[in-house]
Amino acid sequence: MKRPRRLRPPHRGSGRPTAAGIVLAGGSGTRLGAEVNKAFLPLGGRSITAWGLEAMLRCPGVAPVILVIRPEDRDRVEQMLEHEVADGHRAEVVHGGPTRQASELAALDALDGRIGCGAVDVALLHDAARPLVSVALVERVLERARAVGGALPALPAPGIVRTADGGRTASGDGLAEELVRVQTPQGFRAPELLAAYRQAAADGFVGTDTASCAERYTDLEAVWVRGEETNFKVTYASDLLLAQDVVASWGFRSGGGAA
Amino acid sequence: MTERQESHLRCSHCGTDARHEVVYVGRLVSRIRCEACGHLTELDISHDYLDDLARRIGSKPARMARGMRWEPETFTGFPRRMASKPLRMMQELIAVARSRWDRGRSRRRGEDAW
Repeated sequence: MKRPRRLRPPHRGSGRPTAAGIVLAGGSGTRLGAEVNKAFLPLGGRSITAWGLEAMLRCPGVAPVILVIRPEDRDRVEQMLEHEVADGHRAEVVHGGPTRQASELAALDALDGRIGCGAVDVALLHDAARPLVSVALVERVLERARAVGGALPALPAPGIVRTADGGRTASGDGLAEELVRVQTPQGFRAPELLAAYRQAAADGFVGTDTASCAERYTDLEAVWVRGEETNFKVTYASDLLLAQDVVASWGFRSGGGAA
Repeated sequence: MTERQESHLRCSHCGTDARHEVVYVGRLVSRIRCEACGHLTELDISHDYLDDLARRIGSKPARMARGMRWEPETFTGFPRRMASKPLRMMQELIAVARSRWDRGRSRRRGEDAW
């Protein structure tokens, strides 16, 4: 019989509210045959999702951590939490919906009671396809979200120009200096965010990301904090190779580690 | 251990979201093929593989101890895994040698290789 894991003492709060980390690994599209959800492709010996999830779990002040998955990935997820993530037993698994927004709402609904009683004051929503997020970045987003109401990691986007008719580019209008590439985790005050998502669901509004829903349905101010070049999203096949180079340079340890 | 996985990724060559076959040797990706356009990205992982192999060997005792501690039931399959280890290692080494050979061939042809 399997010996029960020796658990760490549960998070002992000092009575202060904590932030909830939400890792979205629902993916999109349909799977055919043996195809695996991109979020569960191996990267340096463990799933893409495992890297970002562990960064969340290692961040002081982030608890609980919710992992949102598709029901068909359940077996793979249990294996991952058991073997690939330090303290994986601390993650709470929630089944998501057909869209990213529905998955985010499912996670926030799972936190409803804890948000309502004030135990959780901030929600940090992170895309599992960004495996190389660091603990330091999660902490920066959390600190600003708690202080201001909302915070997004982003990087300046030099070299981007607006396209005009006929594929011409319209540069030189100063726009490039105002553009940023937004990343995750995106942090917002949890009570307002939960109410926003419920209202958006009632209205049938589907935003592009957490910030778009928060912007439309809350008065929360949001600021951007400097993101990280390594916190890129694995979208292209070549991104997987780049991510592999990064984790190899970290010695295949959660480098996010480098807080 | 060599392993094949299939997943949807965006092709770096044709730009479409398509099923890709990803081949791993140990913990490393050695090749990725787009099933939409057939584009193949091959890597010479021979150098990284040796580093990784050294790390895997170094951490093996700790990993085995952890396994014995937390999941002693999995050790029922230990003798079988021990017996098949030489074969699995040989498969890895062949895949690594092949990645080196294929990468060199792609370079000579001027094809895309990471």
